[in-house]
Amino acid sequence: MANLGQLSWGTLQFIAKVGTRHKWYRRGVAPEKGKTLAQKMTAWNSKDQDPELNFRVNIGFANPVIRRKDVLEERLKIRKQTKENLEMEKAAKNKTLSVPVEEVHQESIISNRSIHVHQAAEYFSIYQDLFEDAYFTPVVPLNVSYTWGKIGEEIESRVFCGNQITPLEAVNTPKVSYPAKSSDLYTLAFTTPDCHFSGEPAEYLHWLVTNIPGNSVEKGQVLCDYMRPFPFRGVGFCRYIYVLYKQDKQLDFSQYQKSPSCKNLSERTFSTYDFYREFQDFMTPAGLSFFQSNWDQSLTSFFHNVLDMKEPCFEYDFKPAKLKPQEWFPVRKPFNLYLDKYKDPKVLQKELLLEKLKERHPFKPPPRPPKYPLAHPLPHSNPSWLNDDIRRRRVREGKWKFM
Amino acid sequence: MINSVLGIFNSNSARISSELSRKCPRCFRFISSSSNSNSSSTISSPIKKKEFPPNNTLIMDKVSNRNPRNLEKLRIAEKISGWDLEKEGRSYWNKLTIELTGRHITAKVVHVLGQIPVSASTNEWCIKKFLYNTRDSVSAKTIGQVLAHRCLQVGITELSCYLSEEDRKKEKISLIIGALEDGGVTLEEPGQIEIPWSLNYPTMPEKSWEVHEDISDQLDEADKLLHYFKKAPHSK
Repeated sequence: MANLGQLSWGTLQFIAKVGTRHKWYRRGVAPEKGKTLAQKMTAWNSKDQDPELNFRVNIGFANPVIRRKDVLEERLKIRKQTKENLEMEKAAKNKTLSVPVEEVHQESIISNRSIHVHQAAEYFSIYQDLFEDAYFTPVVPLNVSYTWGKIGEEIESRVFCGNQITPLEAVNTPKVSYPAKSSDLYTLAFTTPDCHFSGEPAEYLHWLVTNIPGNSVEKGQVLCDYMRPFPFRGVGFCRYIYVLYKQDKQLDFSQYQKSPSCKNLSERTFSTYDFYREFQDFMTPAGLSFFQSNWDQSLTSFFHNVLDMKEPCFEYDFKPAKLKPQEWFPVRKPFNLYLDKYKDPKVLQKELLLEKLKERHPFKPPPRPPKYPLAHPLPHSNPSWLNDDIRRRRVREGKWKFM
Repeated sequence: MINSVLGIFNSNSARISSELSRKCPRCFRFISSSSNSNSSSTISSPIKKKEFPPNNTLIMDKVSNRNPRNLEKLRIAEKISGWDLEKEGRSYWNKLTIELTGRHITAKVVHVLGQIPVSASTNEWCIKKFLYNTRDSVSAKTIGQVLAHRCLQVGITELSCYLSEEDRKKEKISLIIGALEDGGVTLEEPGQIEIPWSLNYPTMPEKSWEVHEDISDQLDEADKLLHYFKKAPHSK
């Protein structure tokens, strides 16, 4: 405790003024002179939407335009037929008409031209993480489906655009299908941009098949064998992305050749951006589908046996609490709580542990918590801070919570 | 028109996204690794491996998950709040909006930053083709079913729904909501988890990133044995 006589005049004044109301100060410019919210927002948006900085290049195929003129006649015909259909009318009136959702999905692929995949890709910022400032429209509908489970009771899980598939489901090499001519050549890449070990924005290559004639993926040249997704424990959901490229001609990808059934993660490190940049004159992204995956129990043995490494475990890194620098005279603050706040956490936890050990017997079970912990009144002779502390301890609040 | 459009956030999406990412960085800290029980027994000496460092040396202290939807799933992302005194309907990650116009029924999922990841409308040919009338209760039910199907395709399983009780009693809206719930979408979004700001005394923050699902019955027998020797998950 400092000697009061040594304090400056200003500090003494400050101590004397405890409890006085302070003057109200206006923050910022007066509302008549300052900018309105709308003006500020236009300024912000103009900064973000700089036409040179935020320019995005379309690297894909043009989406085939369905002209209204071409389809209208057929659609009107179908509408007329449904309107004349008495059974449908009856079912609609009786509310028994049922619409097959799967057929709606198949029809939407034809009529909406994979716009929903594009929307979902923007929602998951797929283009930004794979191609940075470029994007494409997934013109070719890419169907990927995994089969898993015991023999005889196989279950199929399909990959859409962001649905959740567990690593256990995605153990085996999937079936890939897409509409294509047999004379065309394709490349299929399966990568993940999330949670690279280096902590940098890099990708892992899970599968790479090139020079695929038509849609028979088995006949393609496998540069990198299929590896199941392995999201680490505690990092949440990672994206796993299939991109289908259409090649103009037979290409030589031999520099991307990995060792057979490659298990080394640094060998599998990959960059879609660099890969596409190298072959961009002869290759165009055409199809896209992706899913999200979280850690599950089946990965433990995969890390130990296949990747031959310890299984990593992560947790979210919350920002550490920021405290004001400690004051000599914290005005209008309960001194005991204030001091607890700035105490070394180890010292505080040791104190709490000693208190806990006092209450417990080494060989007996812990005492039952009382039904009405505040039933016994506290002595009035105690200072209020002490009574508050005892009360908190009885109710197990604050620092006493996990006693 | 039942739910108003977003207003401010549509125009300001880019700004807020940068602000949010600054508030909640997508970093995960390394805590421990369960040891490999049979690492000594496995022999690994292919010729090509020599060029690359072994997997065990790669682990860094921090990795970042760049998936923009991950923190929302884990309930760590900032949920914009501060309209406690106003009419509710602004504090959400994904919201359901329903529009009933004279001819059509439209249902959308709207993200806080203004994106519309999923929508379904009787205006679309793929839905209209199977309907008799685009404004009746059958079409309302269909819109609910299709929207639920599309939500699951995009990985959205929870939505916040700010419809008043009066609106919910209306026939078409109740049909849409019922079809959504039957389709596997929950119409209630969990709140953001409270960050332990005062770490001086022992606190137990919620660990939303932990997976507690037990699938040991689905694993092979060899995998089960390995589990038996596994170390405790958070031992240091």
